[in-house]
Amino acid sequence: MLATIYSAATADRLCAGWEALGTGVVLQVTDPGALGPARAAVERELLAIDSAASRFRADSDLERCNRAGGRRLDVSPLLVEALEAAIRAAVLTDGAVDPTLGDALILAGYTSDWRRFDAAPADPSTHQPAQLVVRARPARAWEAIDLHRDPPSARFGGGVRVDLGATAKALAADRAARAAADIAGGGILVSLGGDIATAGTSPESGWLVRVTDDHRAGADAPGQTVRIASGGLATSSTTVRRWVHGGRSMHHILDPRDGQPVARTWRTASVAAATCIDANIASTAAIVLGSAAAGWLTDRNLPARLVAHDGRIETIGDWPAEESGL
Amino acid sequence: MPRPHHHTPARRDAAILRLRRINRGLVAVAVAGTAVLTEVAAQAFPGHTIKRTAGSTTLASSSGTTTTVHHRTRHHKAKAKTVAPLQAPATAPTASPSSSSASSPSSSSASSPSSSSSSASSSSSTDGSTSTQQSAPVQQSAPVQQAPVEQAPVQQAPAPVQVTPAPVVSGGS
Repeated sequence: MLATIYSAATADRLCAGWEALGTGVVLQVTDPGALGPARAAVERELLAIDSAASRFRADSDLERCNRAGGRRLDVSPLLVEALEAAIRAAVLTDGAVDPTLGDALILAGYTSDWRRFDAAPADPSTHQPAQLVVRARPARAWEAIDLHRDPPSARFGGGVRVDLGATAKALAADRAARAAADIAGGGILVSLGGDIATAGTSPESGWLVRVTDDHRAGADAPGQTVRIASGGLATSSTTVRRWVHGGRSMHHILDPRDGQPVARTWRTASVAAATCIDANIASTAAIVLGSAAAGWLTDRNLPARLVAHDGRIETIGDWPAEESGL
Repeated sequence: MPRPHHHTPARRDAAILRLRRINRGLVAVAVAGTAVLTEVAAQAFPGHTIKRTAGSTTLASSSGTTTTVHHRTRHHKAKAKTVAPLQAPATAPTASPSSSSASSPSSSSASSPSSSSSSASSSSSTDGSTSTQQSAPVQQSAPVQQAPVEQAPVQQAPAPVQVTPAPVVSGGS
């Protein structure tokens, strides 16, 4: 009994959880004394990314650019970094991860912070997406994003509306983990809505990660537990952030080719990479690419775990084999 | 009375020289004006891509390995951007026994943070496990109580406990 109490108290000093950026944040440290300064560093990074890149804040740099009508605006260096990361994602995935889907997301009804969404989500088993009317976008629309680093400024040409939801969160996780490790030392793990970044000296046996459909689920949810020693791990899924719009079931991963919610082979994709943002880019791309994802991930030596809509599991590369089905 | 003829060869050559100078000036002004107008138009209308100047964006790799991607602007000028490829992890994830914290009801609080902070709990603490396969950032022994022999069955000293935060959940968000 005493051991239980003592152990639980010590674990509390190694881990903290709270809400930010419309999702859950988990911070783990290897040194109990590091939790306070590490959390402060993470919170500073999250505030900065929210101020720079949130689509749901009228005063964010991103929204000012979205409303600027094609004019160039001075922005924070962090938004330039976030936009560069998003453009890189678009280039590397040949547009499967596209930051210019802001209008399509609004048409799909994704118009506010997820925390303010309808409390009654749609039935995740409904895989037929709605037919949306989406404004025509030019191919490779991200090329209309014009950036300067010094002085930092941005201009969104071609009438595009940018949404950085796919990459900004992962970028924030990477930045927060690095900042926390720099300040607090030791090993740091930061999870933003299930997008996991690590920094510093990891535990001897690695960080434990439970891979499942929904980051809000408990560690006993159906899935697989793995260990990571460094880098990042991200999971994208069509089973979460679902809502009803116009009487139809929606989710937040849109196919850039038609602006509709993706309903291809995979419902959930988990990818490990050197950084959280690389893992996030690959996991999102895997959902959009569908049956082509396995080959795409293999070509890039990215270990991954893909879950089909019928529960079938496919592991890619060096991802450990499943002990039991999902 | 006939008008005197003033058009000598020398005057003619001088006039031709002046015309040449004027023409050269006009050509220079035209070239410079075209360049200025081109730049103004490029900055003023959508479709102008990232500049390749010192203070502008480049997507070069910091890791040394790059992928070169070619694309075209509206002006059909081919540009090349170097983009760092996706990097595989230094070590791939490894399997963890499915029993490790996965079935612990108490572990869900760590991965599903509520509005209150510090919600983690130890999954290993519930079963007093001494497994060496647990991922324990810090391994500490619990304080040991010396129990009287007569009360040994109920106050037995606890076994050393490894502190193991619950697995962090990676799922869709």
